[in-house]
Order: sequence, then C-alpha cells, then structure tokens
Amino acid sequence: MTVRESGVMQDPKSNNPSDGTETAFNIIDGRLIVTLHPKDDDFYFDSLCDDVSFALGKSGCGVLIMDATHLELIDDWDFQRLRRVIDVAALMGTKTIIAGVRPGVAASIVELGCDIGGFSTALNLKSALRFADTEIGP
Amino acid sequence: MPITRKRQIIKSETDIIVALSKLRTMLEGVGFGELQISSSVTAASELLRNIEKYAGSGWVQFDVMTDSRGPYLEFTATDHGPGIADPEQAMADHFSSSGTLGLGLPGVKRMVDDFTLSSDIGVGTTASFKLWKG
Amino acid sequence: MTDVIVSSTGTRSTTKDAATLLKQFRITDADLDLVRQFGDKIRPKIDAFVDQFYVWLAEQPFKYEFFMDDAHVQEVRTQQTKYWHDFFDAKIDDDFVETRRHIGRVHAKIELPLDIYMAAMNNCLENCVDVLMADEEPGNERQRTLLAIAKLMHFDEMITADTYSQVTNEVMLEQSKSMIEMSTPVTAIWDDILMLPLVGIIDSKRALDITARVLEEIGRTQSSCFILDISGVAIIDTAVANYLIKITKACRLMGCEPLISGLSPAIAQTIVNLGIDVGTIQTTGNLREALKHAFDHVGMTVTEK
Repeated sequence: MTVRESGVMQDPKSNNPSDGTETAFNIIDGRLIVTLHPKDDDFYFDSLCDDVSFALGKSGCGVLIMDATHLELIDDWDFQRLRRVIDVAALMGTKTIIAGVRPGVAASIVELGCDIGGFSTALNLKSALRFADTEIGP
Repeated sequence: MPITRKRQIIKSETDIIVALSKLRTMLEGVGFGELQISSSVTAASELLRNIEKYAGSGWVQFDVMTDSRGPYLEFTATDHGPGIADPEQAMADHFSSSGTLGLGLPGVKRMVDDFTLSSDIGVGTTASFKLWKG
Repeated sequence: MTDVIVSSTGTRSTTKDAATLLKQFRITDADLDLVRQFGDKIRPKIDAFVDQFYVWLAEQPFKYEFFMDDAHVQEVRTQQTKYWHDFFDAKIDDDFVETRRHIGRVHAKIELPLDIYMAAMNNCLENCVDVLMADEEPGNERQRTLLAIAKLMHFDEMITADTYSQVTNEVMLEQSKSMIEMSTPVTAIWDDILMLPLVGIIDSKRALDITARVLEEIGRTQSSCFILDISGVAIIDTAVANYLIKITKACRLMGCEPLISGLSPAIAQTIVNLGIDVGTIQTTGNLREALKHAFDHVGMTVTEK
C-alpha cells in the first residue's frame, strides 16, 4: 500500500486565511481536503458549506476529507454546520472522511448527542488518504 | 428463623452500589443462576438509579422467600419523589419524561417475573418485582 | 420511614440534635435531675472506678496494641475521667452530643474495638448499682435513678457506636472506591491495538474517567483499534450500556475502531431484555474473537509457526 504525498499539499497553517472567512482547500489525488481551523467568528462555519459545495462541484472530487486536527472545541451549533456540509456532500455523491478529531472534541460531540452517521473517520490525514484509497477507491 | 431481609436507604450512587452488591451476595448464597442474578441485579439497578435520578432519595428492601414454585427474590424500591403521572405509559417502550432513553421500566418488566409499579403524584413511587429461581 | 435502619453513608442520626435524641430515648428533665443528684454521690468515687477499669484492661491480652505507652494510657485515662464527670453533670446539649461523636470517631480512627468502650460503660454501670444499693433512699426512688442512668448510658452508647460504624463504613467505601478507580489500565497490546479490561462497577464518575483516558490514549498512540473487554463488569444496566455506547462512539469519531468483548450469555440476554440498541458496534463473546477482529482490522494475520 502506498500513501501518495502529493506536491500540491501545502502546510495547512500557511494556507489559513488570516481573516478567518475563507476556507482552506487542497486537492490530493482527487480528494478534496478541507482544513478546519478554530473559528474566529460564526461566519466561518456558516460559509463553510457554501465554500465546500462550490469546490466539490468545481473539482468533481468524489471524496471530501475534513481535517479536524486544529479544532480544539466544538459546540452543537458548529457541529450542525459540519453536519450540513456532510449531508450536502452526500447528496452530491461525495463521501466524507473526518480526520484527526481530538479527544475533547470527540467526547463533546457524543455528549451533545449529535447524529454521527453518514461519514467515515480516520486517526489523521495520512490514514484518511489511505482509507480513501483502500475503502473508496479512485 | 433467621432474618435475611435487607433494607437500605438510597441517597447516592454509592448507596446503590452497596445495595446491589448485597443483593448479588444474597442471590449467590441461595444458588440463583448467573442469568437470574444478572437479571435481578440489572433490574434492581434500573429501579434504584431511577430513585436517585428522579426522586433524590428513597429506600429499598429485598429478601429471598419460598413458595410452592420454590425460592424467589422479592424486591421493593420506594421513593417519596414527584411520582409518575401515568405508570402505564412509563412502562411502554420509548417513553421518557427526562429526554433520555426511556428504556428502564419496560426492560425491567421483561427481565423479571412479577413487576408492579404504583405511583401517586406528589406522594412517591413504589416499584417491586419477584423473580423465581426455578 | 422510621424502620429503615441502615444507610451506608449513614448521616441519618448524626444530623439529629440533642433535643431530638433525648426525645427518642425518652429521657426527661426529671431523669437528668436524678442523674445529677446521683452524680453528687458518685463523683468522689469516679477516680477509683477508672482505676479499677484499667486494672481489668491490663489483664486483657491486646491492651498494648492500643495504648502504646504509659503517657498514652494516662491521656486516655484523663479523658475517661472527664467522660464520667460530663456524664453525671447530665447537661445534655448539642455540645455534649458532639463530644460523644468525637469519642466514636477517635475510637474508630485508632481501630479500638467497641467492646472495650462497652466494657468501660458496663464497669461504670456496675459501680453505680453498687453505690445505689448502699444508699438509704427508698427502693422505688433508687429504681427510678437506675433507670435514668441506664437510659442516659444507652443514649451515650448509641451516639458513640453510630459514629464509630459510620467512620468504619466511610473508610471501607473509600478503600473499595480507590480499588475501583485505579483499575483503568489502557494498554497498547499490539501496534495500533489498544485494550482496556474493565473490572468492577461503573458509575457516572468512573465512566467519564474511562472515556477521557481511552480517548487520550487513542490520540497519543494513534491506534486504529480499541478493544473494551467487559467480562469483569459487575452490572450492565441501561446507564452503563449508555456509557459504553458513548465511549465507542467517541472512539469511532477519532477514527479508531471500537470492539467490545466479553459479553457473557447472561449479560447478552440482559442487554436484549433491556431493549438496548448497540447499533453497529462490533461485539464478541470472548477476547479471542475480539483479537481476531482487531488483527484483521489492522491488516495482520496470526499464523502458526
């Protein structure tokens, strides 16, 4: 099994817009990768769905990977926004993988009783890409 | 005749743990099978947790008796909490007044032989069951 | 519910004040007067009584385990003399009750058996009867005095013994709790495979603790599989099942596949009877099957040499 480390991959941090209103994207081997970062304001998660669905439509990616490594807190409101992204992606025929959820975030999502169906998870971005290769295919 | 009946006040999770371990010891002592013990202790746990959760405090009494069908556990849990408006509805699957999984009571009913629930609003609730060893 | 007599945390009677307790033991002001009147007669003899008790105690084989040295014995003796002076002063208020509780706590702390305390009480009662018999009071007056003394002694004994058992219970609970709590060893049993054998009783506090430890270990080791063995869990009711389901859900959110092993036939039947939906969680009857699933999940096979 090979993990393709594409040259397109950039350091997510350098790609994060400083104003927090734009979403950071990368495309590796036809997987759309979104790096979630701690929100500076509510506007970020609000615009996430628009941005992601637009990028999915434009790129034609069949797999969406959301990297949650930088996310340290989540509340019900935030998760509902993420949920919308997943549901919209599913309608567009795209499978979602959430990678690198931190212990505290995982515990909060469960404690909030959120619906956690309809997406896959991975320990980190690397295993998410591997999972996409082995379980979903090109 | 020796007094085997156990009574205990339930005020905290610790009280529940102590009561349940006494119950387990009692049932093991009279040779109840693993499934009967598991069912009895689980049913007891559901009822006592309800006391702690909804009424704050109450008390429990249990004893092993014998009739023509052989030895059986008689278990009673009582509280002086708010009471249940509609005991029959509370016994139905998927009912919960607290927004959590309302699984407890119907599950208890399935696991034991003779489950009764009586409740008066503002007075309290008494739940009891029997479970034969046989 | 006056006939409920046992509480493991037992704060029941200790919250009662002196007045309530006196009423419960039917000790009237007249009784207390009688004790005080009698006290005047017996007070000069208290020292001798206490001496007599220590002569008896010296004959007991275990004495030195409790009263290590002479200085210690002297201290306890002073306390005992004061105890009887307080007793015959018969000024029963909340402070008095508190001193009795203190005695119970001290006895429990040094694990002095209650029988020694009871023997001391008995010794005093005998002496009181002796003094009373030698008295010139009319017979029924003496009987009333004796009854008053006996009632007050029972009152004393109850408070002390109750406090004693309470402290002992608390110590026992603390011990069992710490035993329960220390056993949450989340271990990496193989590359990418974590395991936690759960033992004992799971309450809400422990469930939180377990969840936190498991999730942190997953984050730290980046393991892709987690086996939760529940064969040692005493009770699986809906609350415990919900905790377990929550733990596995959180695991899965982190990208780690949860497996629950050790579902005995009795536990499996109980879970079905309770109507708990374990959803898509992989469960197995024994640890062996869980290990097989785990190896499969991380892409390994175990073969014989």
